[in-house]
Amino acid sequence: MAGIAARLRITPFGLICLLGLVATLYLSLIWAPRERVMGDVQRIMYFHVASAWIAEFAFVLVGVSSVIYLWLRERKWDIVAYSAAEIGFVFCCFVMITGPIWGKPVWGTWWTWDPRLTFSMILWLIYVAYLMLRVYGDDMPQVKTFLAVLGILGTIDIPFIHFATMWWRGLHPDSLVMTEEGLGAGMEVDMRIALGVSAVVFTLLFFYLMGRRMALERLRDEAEDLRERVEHRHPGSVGV
Amino acid sequence: MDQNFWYLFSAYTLIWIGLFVYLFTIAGREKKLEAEIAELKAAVEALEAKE
Amino acid sequence: MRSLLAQSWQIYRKDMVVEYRTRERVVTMFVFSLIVVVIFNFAFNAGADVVQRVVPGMIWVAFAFAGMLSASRSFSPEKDRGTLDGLLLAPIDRGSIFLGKLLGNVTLIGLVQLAMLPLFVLFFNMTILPHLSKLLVIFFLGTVGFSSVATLFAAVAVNTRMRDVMLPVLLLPVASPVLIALVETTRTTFEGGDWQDMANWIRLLSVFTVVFLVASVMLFEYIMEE
Repeated sequence: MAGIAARLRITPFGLICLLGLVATLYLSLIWAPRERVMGDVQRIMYFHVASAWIAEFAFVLVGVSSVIYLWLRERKWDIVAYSAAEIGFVFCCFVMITGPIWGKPVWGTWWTWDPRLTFSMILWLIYVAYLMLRVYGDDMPQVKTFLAVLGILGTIDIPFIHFATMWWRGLHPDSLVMTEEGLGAGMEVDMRIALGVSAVVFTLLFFYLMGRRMALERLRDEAEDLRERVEHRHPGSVGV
Repeated sequence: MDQNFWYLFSAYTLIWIGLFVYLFTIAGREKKLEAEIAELKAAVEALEAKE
Repeated sequence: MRSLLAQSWQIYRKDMVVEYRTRERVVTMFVFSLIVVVIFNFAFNAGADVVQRVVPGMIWVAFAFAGMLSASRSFSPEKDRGTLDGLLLAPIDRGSIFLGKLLGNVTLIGLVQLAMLPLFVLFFNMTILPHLSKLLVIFFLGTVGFSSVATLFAAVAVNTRMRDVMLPVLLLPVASPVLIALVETTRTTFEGGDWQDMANWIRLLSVFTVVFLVASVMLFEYIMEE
């Protein structure tokens, strides 16, 4: 365990996050009561919903930091947006993976075009577009501006996607978290506590990953800088 | 045991695996860049010494 | 404001004159939409009962692709010939370039829609005339909303290496609410629905169109700066 932590260069804060994740595992798999209709498989919810929360939170963060980037033109806000997009994408993948796994035993089919799944799917596609533009536009000077524009439009789009997918299919057939009465109205208290803890732990984890990812981007800038300095003094000495 | 156990198990396992794979890629990229930076710093110093 | 509109009009006129000489954009779009409709028929093997459910989607897939073609072609020749730089050097508001291009795209898509609707009637035995006023509102809102995002992203995509691939990848997820709303309202209309049956969708379309039009005009200046 310590060996892996060292290889992954996990800081104390990161370790706390991972321990929190283990605690969440206990709360959601053992401590929280068994859901009456769906049985144990409903316990996927604790990680699924927390991942969805992070995916959406990261998306908004991409939008906000994109606005600030266009305004101030400071590289660090671009870094925030990029890091949030990448991590948000990872968590959105978690949502897309656990959603069907939850759906199969409950609905009897891996995928239904239910509003929440459709919403996540569109969100996922926008993340993919963002990361694709980042990778394929790497050689363009204005790519950071383009990405900021995409980040802003994507975030403005969230309410539209939300209502469009909701009206398109009617409400979530057996949503416990989001019902018309409000957040978590259909759940027992212990379930709500477990979900709350899970959401908090995932948020901490998100910030830990943000720190790691942003540091990585700064390293890349540093390398780029040095490469330019070498290249400048000695053209052709660095073969990139 | 619930027959749906495997669904639950695989969902949680996939998330943990995914998380650690992501951490691995970050650490890997970090190490590669650090090595490159060290190399480049040495190159810059060597060039500066020559001048 | 007045000069912005006047400048937009100049850009629009210039593009339309160019288009009138060659007619290449509008012809390509029309043929393309026609092909989409034909292919869709093969895909669904549509009998009369299926048609009612499939046609609204088919219509908007065809027009969305035509719209992307139009948006993409509104920038790529200018970029390739270097005239885009000239346009940027002109002492005009950048927003007017966007509005001019947008107006051009809306016009061309509108023309293709006008040409396609009779064909839909012909192919699918549909009645359009009693629904004309509703369709007009829906098509206008949807086309303006879709085109403003399309025009903005076309300006982005034209700068990327893989421009033909990037436009749909960037545009379609963001434009998906409009496409859903368009298909739903069109279907409701053909099923004889009333305004009230689609009030939510019309509201969504209008708000989307206004919000994204304003956002696109504002963001376009950033895209076009060097």
